[in-house]
Amino acid sequence: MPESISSANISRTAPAEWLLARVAGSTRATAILGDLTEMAQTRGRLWFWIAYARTLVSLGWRTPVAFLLAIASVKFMLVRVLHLVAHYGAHHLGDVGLFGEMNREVLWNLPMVIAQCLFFALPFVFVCYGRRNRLTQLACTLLLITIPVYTALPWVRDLSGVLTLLAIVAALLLSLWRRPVIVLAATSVTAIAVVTTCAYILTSVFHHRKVFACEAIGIAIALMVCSHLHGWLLEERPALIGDTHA
Amino acid sequence: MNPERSLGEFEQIVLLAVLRLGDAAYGVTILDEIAAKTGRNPAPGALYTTLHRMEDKGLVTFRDGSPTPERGGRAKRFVTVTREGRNALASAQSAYQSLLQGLDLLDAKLFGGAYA
Repeated sequence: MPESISSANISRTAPAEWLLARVAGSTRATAILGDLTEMAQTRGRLWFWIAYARTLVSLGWRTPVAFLLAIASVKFMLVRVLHLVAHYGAHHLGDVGLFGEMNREVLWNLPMVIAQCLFFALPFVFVCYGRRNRLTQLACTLLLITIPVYTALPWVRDLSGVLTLLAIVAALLLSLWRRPVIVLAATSVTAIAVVTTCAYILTSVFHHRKVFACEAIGIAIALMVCSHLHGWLLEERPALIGDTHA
Repeated sequence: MNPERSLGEFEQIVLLAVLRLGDAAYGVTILDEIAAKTGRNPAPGALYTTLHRMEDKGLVTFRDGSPTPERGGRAKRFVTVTREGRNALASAQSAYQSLLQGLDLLDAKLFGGAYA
């Protein structure tokens, strides 16, 4: 006869409930622990703890894995991609592109900044929300459009810049894609703002450069913003209900 | 159909189990119903992950029940399929039915015949 979880030793599961609440929310965690406790009456304490551990992993693995992937992706971008840009792009510093000096600032810098932000945003949204999510699809599309800006060829950079501008304008005009653009923009602006602020504080107040710490803090806060705003994407708008049920 | 509303196989199984159970659908009874009707024993974590994802998509909603002693004083969370969830399930099942038409797959299995 397996040893069951009785109400007398429920207090021992309080830390387990607290931990589960960190990944699932307190209401969900209470209900899950209740279900597991009820099932453990006939299946035993060992079953309870195995089921609890598996549930904790099932519900909580995505966020830490996505965060680590985002950090790794940014490190790859900083170490490999920007190194290549610095190496090959040096020969084309004087190039002005197809649209002249003034347009170069926008057409080359805009996709460059967007691509840098997407290096951490895309792995995060892909792991957290899956490939069918609109946020993932938009991030993937924008990265594919902006990544050619890292080539040294002026006409490729021009083309990438024009396509990026067109994609953003089109997304803002289409009701289905407007919210994902806003969420991605909010995530990216937060990341840039926090990383810049952290770097400024560390260098001016503490007089040392912990660049990696700045990036990690910036990305962590940006991803919290992204997770918070993601629920907004799932709120169906009245105009789309007909499409959904079609 | 909105791709974010398309349903996976396990999501359909869970929705069908919830609909069969009616007002009595919560974690324990859903797992028991799935085991009884499909022969599968899904892990509780898989069920909760699926339920939470469907809640985020608006396919199911939850309502709290009363706390009970056998649950350590914790309340049940009963699951209800929303109109959107029913529509998504009907759409997915309709696709299966369309693909099954003309195959006589169920008859062949029932009578152990031609396709065995």
